[in-house]
Amino acid sequence: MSVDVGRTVWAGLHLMDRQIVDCDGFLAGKVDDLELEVPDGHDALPVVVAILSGPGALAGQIGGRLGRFIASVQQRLHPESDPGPATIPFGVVKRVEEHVEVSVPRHALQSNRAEEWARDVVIDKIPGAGHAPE
Amino acid sequence: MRRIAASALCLLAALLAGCVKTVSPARTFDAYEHKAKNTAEAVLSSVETARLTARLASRGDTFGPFTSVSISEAEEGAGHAQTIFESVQPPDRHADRLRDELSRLCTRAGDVLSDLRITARRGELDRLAERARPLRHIARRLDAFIREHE
Amino acid sequence: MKKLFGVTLGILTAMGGFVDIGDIVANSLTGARFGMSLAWAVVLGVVGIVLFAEMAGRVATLSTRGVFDLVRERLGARVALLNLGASFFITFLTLIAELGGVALALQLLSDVNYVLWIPLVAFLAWLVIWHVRFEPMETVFGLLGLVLLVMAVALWKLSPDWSGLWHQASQPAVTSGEGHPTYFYYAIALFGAAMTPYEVFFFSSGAVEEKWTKSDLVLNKANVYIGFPLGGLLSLMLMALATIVLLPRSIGVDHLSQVALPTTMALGKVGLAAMIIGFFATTFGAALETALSCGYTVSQYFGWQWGKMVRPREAARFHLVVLCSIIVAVLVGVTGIDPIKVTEYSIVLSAAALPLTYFPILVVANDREYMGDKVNGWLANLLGSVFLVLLVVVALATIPLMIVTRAGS
Repeated sequence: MSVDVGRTVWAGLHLMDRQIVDCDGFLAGKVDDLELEVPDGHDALPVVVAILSGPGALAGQIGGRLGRFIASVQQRLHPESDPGPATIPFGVVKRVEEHVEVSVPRHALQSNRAEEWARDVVIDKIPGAGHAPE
Repeated sequence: MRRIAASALCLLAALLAGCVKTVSPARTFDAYEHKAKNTAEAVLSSVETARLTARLASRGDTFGPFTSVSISEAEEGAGHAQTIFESVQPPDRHADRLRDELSRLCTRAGDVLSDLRITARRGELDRLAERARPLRHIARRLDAFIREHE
Repeated sequence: MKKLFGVTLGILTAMGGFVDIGDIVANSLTGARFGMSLAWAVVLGVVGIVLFAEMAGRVATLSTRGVFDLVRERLGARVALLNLGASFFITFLTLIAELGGVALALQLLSDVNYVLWIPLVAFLAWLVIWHVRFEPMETVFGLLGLVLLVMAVALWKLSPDWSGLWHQASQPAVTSGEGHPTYFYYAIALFGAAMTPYEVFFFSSGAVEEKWTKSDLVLNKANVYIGFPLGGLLSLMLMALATIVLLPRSIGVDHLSQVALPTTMALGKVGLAAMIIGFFATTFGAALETALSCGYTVSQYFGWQWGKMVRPREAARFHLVVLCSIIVAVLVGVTGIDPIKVTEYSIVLSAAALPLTYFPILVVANDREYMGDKVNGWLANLLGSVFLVLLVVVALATIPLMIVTRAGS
């Protein structure tokens, strides 16, 4: 049992609240929560199967009334009826250092939907949204 | 978390209450005298601001818009202080006399300040110093009032 | 030679960018009321901002991450959210104050009511954030702010009793007729004005925006160690001028116009014009910084792409937060709320929130995972810890003092 606890703490220290960076170097959200799975078998360790990112996952971390409020807002704004938090399968995670690097571009992630909404609905409508930076 | 949120809300409410300048009543003569002194200080600040601005303007050291703004702000400031003071209920006869004395001074200051504002807005900057001359006497009286009631 | 130019430019920009509406109001106001006897609070505040801005700049350079990103990582989602709430609120309040300050400066030039200027000023600020690259934006307004150096000439021209001023500053005593609570309330206001949290959010995010690397750490040190104290000197000049001209005349500072009077008295129209341009440049620069900081803090907490180093459409939520902050600030501003009063509240509340910003910076600056061999030295840690204790004391004292003194009245 003690091994399991140790493993969880490790994940908490090294994954939780870390920045997610996509394959092009864009920032793609935070590790808001983790999905663990205990495989069959006696002494099996829980395995991280997915990273949860976005308000749906964050709501659980914050908890209390504010957490429930965030969750309800997320549910109401989401196109699906019972969405649940956005997941990033652990398979696409390339590297875990000071940040968590994934091997796909951010638009391939479920958790990037709000960014795309802000871009399509507001920012792209303003002239100059695509002008080159530096 | 909820407790923190609640206390944060209370704090915010207290701050907002502090932002809104409420006229608290003066129950004793001392409290009233203190308010009178503060009012005189505020009016004196406005009077001196206008005097300095008028002097600089007549010397040709300021621009028209700046002069107008500075003097009308002084006028507003003095008027505001006077209004607030006069809405405080004086606690006794003694306080009535104090009220009369200060109100008269404030009104005289306000009249000159209005006159200055009108002159400044007409662009007659060179006449400002002359029109501001009565303020010197008023300032001296306000200063004496403040010292007397310290 | 080019390197030297870069360093000089950085220092000058930091100097001009140091002053904002909070410093302008707090320093003139206290000078007119307490003379130079609160100069120590400015010095203390400058030491504090130098210490922590250097750390934040170093952390941001080495980790290429903004301060709030690290705040979240160190404090966890819950506590960091509370921190975000407080920091965002204060930065937003400062944004309202800065926009109001620009509008007041324009009112002094035009005699058109400041409330009418606020929407235009806000639109211009947004346009600059949207279109102009980070570096020229910083440099132009920082350098333009240096016209405030006209105050040095004004001081010299007024030929004050220097030893008297020095005596007031070096042997501070509470002015007669003022109580101790009021004295310390204004000490906190000056301290808060010098150490406003947005400066650190902005400075560190700026290091990431300008893609600083290890070799730029010299630039970081030069900007902070030389530029900020010089900026603090500008603050002290405001205080000294108010002490010489406004205090003896019993003029209390309630309006921006009064701040310009001493320089006008010394140098006439030239002095007045320079002061108004200086007000405009510093407050406009600070409006840009606070608006961006609103976006930086929120985006960094949630891990969104932020910054002007990418196209606006590639940092959509960041730009959305900046845009919304500006719009709401305008809505508050046009209610006719007095920008000077907003400024006073924003700097005092900043003081109350200082530990929230500076504690995580001190922690991360000691983290070898990010900093490698560039962790804090013993001196930085000693001073940092002493300051943190001070910040906590200030934070605890602020609200009671605010209530006791009825916000300094």
